[in-house]
This record gives sequence, C-alpha cells and structure tokens, in this order.
Amino acid sequence: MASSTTRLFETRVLSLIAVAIVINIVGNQINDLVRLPIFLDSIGTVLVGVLAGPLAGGVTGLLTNLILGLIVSPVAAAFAPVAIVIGVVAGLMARAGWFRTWWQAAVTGVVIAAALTLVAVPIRIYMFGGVTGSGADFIVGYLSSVGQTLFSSVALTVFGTNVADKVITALIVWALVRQLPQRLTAGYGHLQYSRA
Amino acid sequence: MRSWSIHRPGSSALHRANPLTKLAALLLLAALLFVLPWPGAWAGTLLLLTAAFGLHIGGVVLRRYLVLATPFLIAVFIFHGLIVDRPDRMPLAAFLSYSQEGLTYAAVLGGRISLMLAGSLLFVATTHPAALLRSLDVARMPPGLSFLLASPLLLIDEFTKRAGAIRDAQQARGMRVNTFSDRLRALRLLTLPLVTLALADAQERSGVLNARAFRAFPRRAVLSPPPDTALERRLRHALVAASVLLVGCALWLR
Repeated sequence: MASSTTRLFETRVLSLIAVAIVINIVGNQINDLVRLPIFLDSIGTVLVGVLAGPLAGGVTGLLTNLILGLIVSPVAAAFAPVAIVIGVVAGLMARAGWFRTWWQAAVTGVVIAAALTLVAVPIRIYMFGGVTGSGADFIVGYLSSVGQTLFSSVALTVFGTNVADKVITALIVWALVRQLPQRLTAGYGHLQYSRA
Repeated sequence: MRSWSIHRPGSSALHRANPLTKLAALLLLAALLFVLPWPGAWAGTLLLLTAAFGLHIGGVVLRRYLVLATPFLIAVFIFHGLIVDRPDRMPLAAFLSYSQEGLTYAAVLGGRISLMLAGSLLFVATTHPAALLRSLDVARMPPGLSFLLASPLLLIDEFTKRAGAIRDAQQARGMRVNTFSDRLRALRLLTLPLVTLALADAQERSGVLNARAFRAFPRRAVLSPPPDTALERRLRHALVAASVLLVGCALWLR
C-alpha cells in the first residue's frame, strides 16, 4: 500500500471542520427566527477552536467564508481573514484555559471581538469603502455624519456590533462543551484545556 | 427555512465545462477588477446576467443577484454620495447635499462587487458541488482538502432542513420569541440540539471515512470524472496565466 497522506488533521477533525462550516452557515438562519441583533455565524468556528485547536479553528473560519463567498456573496470571501482570526483566537484562548467558566468564556468573546476588529476595519475601509450592505451601515453613516472619521466610525461599529455576537457565541460554545456526552468529545485532545 | 443551492441542471456549454475551468474563469474575473474602469465592471455585470438568461438560469441568478447586491449598492451610494464629507459637495434638496466624487467612488465599488457576484452566481448555478469534488480529486488534490471544500456544500441543505425540524419541534413544545429573554432562551433551545446532532454526525462520518480507508492513498481515483479535454486544460492554463499577468501589470503600473 502506498504511504498514507501527509496529515495536517486527523479524519475526525476533518469531519468536525466540515460540519462546523455548515453550522456557521445555518446558524445565521436560526437568527432569522429569534431576531436578535447578532450574526451567529461563527459558532462552528469557535467550537472547532475549543475542541481541536487554533489551526483547525482558523481553517474552519477560512473555508466558511470562502464557501459563503462562492454561494452567497463575494463580500463574505473578502472577510475570510477575519474568520481566520476568530478561529485562531478562540483556539488560543481555549488553550490558555479561558473557556473553563462562563465569565471566562464571556471575556474570550470580548477578546475575539477586539482581535477581529483589527483585521476587519482595513478590509471594510479599503475594499468596500466602509459599508457592506448590512444593518451596521446605518451606524457607520450616523457616526460619520456626526463628525467621526471614516476609520473611527468603522472601528467603533465593527467592535460594537461584534462584541455582543461573540460573547453570546462564546457562551453558547461554553454551555455546549459542558453538556456534550463523553462519547462525542473523546479524541478531541484540545478540549482538556477547557474542562473545569 | 430557505434552500441555499441555486444549482440548476442543464446541458449548455457552461454546464458541461469542467468546474476547474469555470474556477479559472472566476479567477480571471477577479483579476479584471484590478484593471477594469467602473463602466466596464457594470457592463460586464450586465453581460453575465444576460448570459444567464441565455443559459435558462436567468430567473434564479437575477433573483439571487438582486437580493444580495441591492442592500450593498443602496448603502454604498447613500454613504459615499450623500454622507461622507468631500470637498466637492453640492446642495441637492433641503438639507441634503451630494458629491460627484463620492458617487463615482460608489460606482467603482458597486461595479466590482456586482461583477464578482454575477460571476460567482453563474458558477454556482451551473456547477453541482459533487462535480466540483470530483474535479478536485482528478486534479490530484489531497482527499482531505477536496473533502473540506466540497462536503459542506453537499451538507448545507440537509442541515437547513434539520434546523427547520428542530425549530418546529421546539415551537410545538411551547418555545416563544416574543420578548428579549424569550429570544435568548430560544437561541439556546435551537442551537444546542443542532450542534449536538452535528457533532454526532461528524463522528459517524469520520468512522465511515476511516472504514473506507479515505486517506490510505495520497490521491483518490475517480470513477466518473467530469468531462475534460486537452483544449480545456490549455484554456485553464491560459486563464490562470492571464490572471497573474493582469494583476502583475496593474500593480506595476500603479
């Protein structure tokens, strides 16, 4: 038999990434029903970061946005670096033990929002002129019209609209990993860092 | 819940083209954005949307285009034309003023996004995800990578139905979304079962993949590869080379 494929991820992690990408995409539809002012499009990315580490989390984010770019809108593909940051930061925070309690998960959500703001703002300004066709554009417009610069309008908007979303996402993932049966989590070694 | 797929089967030249050739064409389209003036980008959008009607997929492509492009186009024209303060602002009506420079900038951004959106919708409407997966395998892509790129496309509609079933079940049990706290509770009631099911699904899939020795060999053999010809392969190479050349020239001359 030929030598096996050089493996960056085990098959179990590959399957996890594949379903996590779908959770990210479908999560947005769940939000259509509950009508909360959040995106809910990175539960899968954060979950993979916690279960399988920052690299797997980053890959999940990257592929989610590339696939969304292909089937929904190229705008999503342009924000792929932001999705990578979400997965990587979630994985790093989990490794540092910041997913053990609910308040740690909430702080992790804030850290993820701050990190993604650093990457999202230049993309939003230089590729899209500050707007993307979402509801957040109203806030950018308002802040610009009251005298804020384009950079600060976009930075405040991106952080402000993401912080609630990422805190809720991190809390959902925290609640989830506590409730998951052992048979579903056995084999995800990275989860040991998030066990209380 | 809505279906994500806009793929429509057909027998047109674009339907029959190898998915990798279409991806290479999409790459060229992205490279063209670096050099096309904004009227060219809008003309290209119109051309692609017209071509979609010629391929009998015009309705679905145009609907999706309008749903996705309209909010962005409205936002970008209002924001840059009417809100952002620029030196050439002129009074429009009442307290409103506009900037010609801002409107031109909005036309540039809108044209770019429109062209890429029209191109990617044509690709998705004429390419079944399974055909993309097979063509990636034929191109000797590692099976893990082609699995990651294509399997989510095959799973989206199934998971969307699952999410709909969970929603119906929870509503039948009395889930309400009237107040803010109701909605937060509903969020938990909807996401936890969906993600738990997804993790069980991932475990089952990895078991099946391992049982089939999914990655025993570095490359997979494909029983029914998508049609590909020497001419198409040469065309792909030319499209990729032209894309690199265009981006290089655009950066060099900037």
